[in-house]
This record gives sequence, structure tokens and C-alpha cells, in this order.
Amino acid sequence: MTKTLRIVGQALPIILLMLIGELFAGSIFGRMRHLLAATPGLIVLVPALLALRGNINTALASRLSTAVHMGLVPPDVPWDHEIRTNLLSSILLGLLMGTVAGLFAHALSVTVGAESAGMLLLGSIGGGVGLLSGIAMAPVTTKTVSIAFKRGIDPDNVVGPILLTLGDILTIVLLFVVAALLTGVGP
Amino acid sequence: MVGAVLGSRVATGLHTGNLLSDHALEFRRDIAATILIGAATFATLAVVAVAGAHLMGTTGATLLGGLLLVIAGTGLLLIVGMIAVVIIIGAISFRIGWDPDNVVVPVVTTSGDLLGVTSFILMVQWVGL
Repeated sequence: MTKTLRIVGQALPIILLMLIGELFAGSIFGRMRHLLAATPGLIVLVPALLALRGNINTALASRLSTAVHMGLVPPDVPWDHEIRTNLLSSILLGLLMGTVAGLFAHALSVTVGAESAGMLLLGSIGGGVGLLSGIAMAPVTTKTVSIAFKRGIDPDNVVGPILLTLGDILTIVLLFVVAALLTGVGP
Repeated sequence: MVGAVLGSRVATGLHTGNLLSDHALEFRRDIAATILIGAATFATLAVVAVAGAHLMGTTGATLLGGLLLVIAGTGLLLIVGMIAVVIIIGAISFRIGWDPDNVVVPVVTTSGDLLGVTSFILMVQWVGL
């Protein structure tokens, strides 16, 4: 029972704190109404980009955490060749899948007969947000894992929620910036 | 988020081989922790929702009761659903030979998103809000 409570004691406070972060991301999203209305198909892209950023970084953190647990990587997660390769592939994955998500959002909109801002625009927004959020989140991911280990916290309990929330906030902000820049439309 | 914690722990457990040893002690701990965290999180959401409703002037007893029922029901469906997904995806990825780290957390969190929205809509319709 104590071990179970330890898991709860580490994870629960972070999760409750991160809920506030998610509400913050939601409030930014709420201010994008004009931009979203002016860019048909963009809103379809949003959950996909959020999920994409979350998936890539939590998978990376999960791999790093397992590697440190098994003694393959030191707890301070230095950016050696192997780690850098991992990070680079995550960033490229974000660029590629972000673009694909944009293209899918366009195709889906067209298929159901809704308007679409176009393959080029949606693909570029998706790819741009995927790439930039990946670059920004790479050091955050490794740092979060190493800080957790250094404080004696099991990263599995806290890193997921932290990366998901920071990734969501970052993705929404970047979406705002990239979409506004590429469409010329303000909030 | 709860799915991320459970998925991450299960993936690590599968790698270290500790998950299912000792009558799956570690796994049972993870599930117990997930249920506790889920209950606490949804209880918090319920408090915030009721407080928010009061602030907006919505204080009818049936409405608040319905709101609590929706939140409780969504939480229950979601937690049970996610545990089921973790078991299924953990077993599949291990059998096929995929690294659980790459598969479990993304599948669980995305399924959680879908399950969450679906459960919410189902509960709202069932409760009749």
C-alpha cells in the first residue's frame, strides 16, 4: 500500500498542477476564434498536432526513462551521439507527421464537404508547428527526465503529465504564431 | 495524463521484467495507483465544475446533480477503458516485439482522448443534461 501511495504522492500533485496549465492553453486557444474561422480546416488540425507533440515527447521520455532505469544512460542524460540521434529523429518525425496531419486535415475537410484553406497552407502550418515545437521540446524532454531522477522521483510518475502540458501550451502558441504569419490573419 | 503515468510505468515494467513477477504485484500497484489518481483528479474536476456553476449562477439541484453524475460516469468509463487499453496494447507490443516505450504511452493517451470525449457525450445524453 505504501508503494502505491508513493506513486500517487508523486503523480497526483503534478497532474493537478498541470490541469491549470491545460486550462491556460485552452484560454489561449479561446482567443484564436477569428483566426480559426478565417482558416477552414485549421481547427481539425488542432487535436492532431496536440496529440502528435504529446506522443513524440512522451515516447522519447519513456525511452530515456527506461534507459536510465536500466543503467544504459546516466541520470543527467548528457547529449551524447546516441541521445542526439534520438532527438534528431524525434524532431524530423514532428516535421514529417505535422505536415501529414495538415494534409489529412485538408483531405478530411474536403471529403465531408466542408471548406478547406488548402493543402499547401494546412500542410505548411502543420509542418511548421511540428518542427518548431519539436526543436523547443527536445531540451525540455531530456531536462525533465534528468531532474526527476536527480530528485529521486520516478520519472514515469511525473514526466508524462509535464511534457504533455508544456507541449500543449507550446503547440497552441506556435499554432497561433505560425498560422497568423502564414495567413496574415490576426486573432 | 493519468494514461501517460500508467502507460509509462507499464512500459518500464515490461522492459525490466518486474511488471508481472510475484503475481503481477507491480502491475496491480500501478492499477491501484491509477484508480486513486483518477478518482482524485475527477473529484477535483467535480469541485471546480460545481464552483464554476455557482459562479455563473447555475444552482439548480437537479442540474448540479446531473453535472456530478456526468463527471463521475465519464471518469469511471475513462479509467476502466484506459486500463483495458494498457493491458491490450502492452500485451500486443510485447508479443510482436515492438518497444513498449514507443507504443504504449501514445496509444493510451490518444485512446484516452477519444474515450474521454465519447464517454462525456454518452454520459451527458444518458443523464439528460
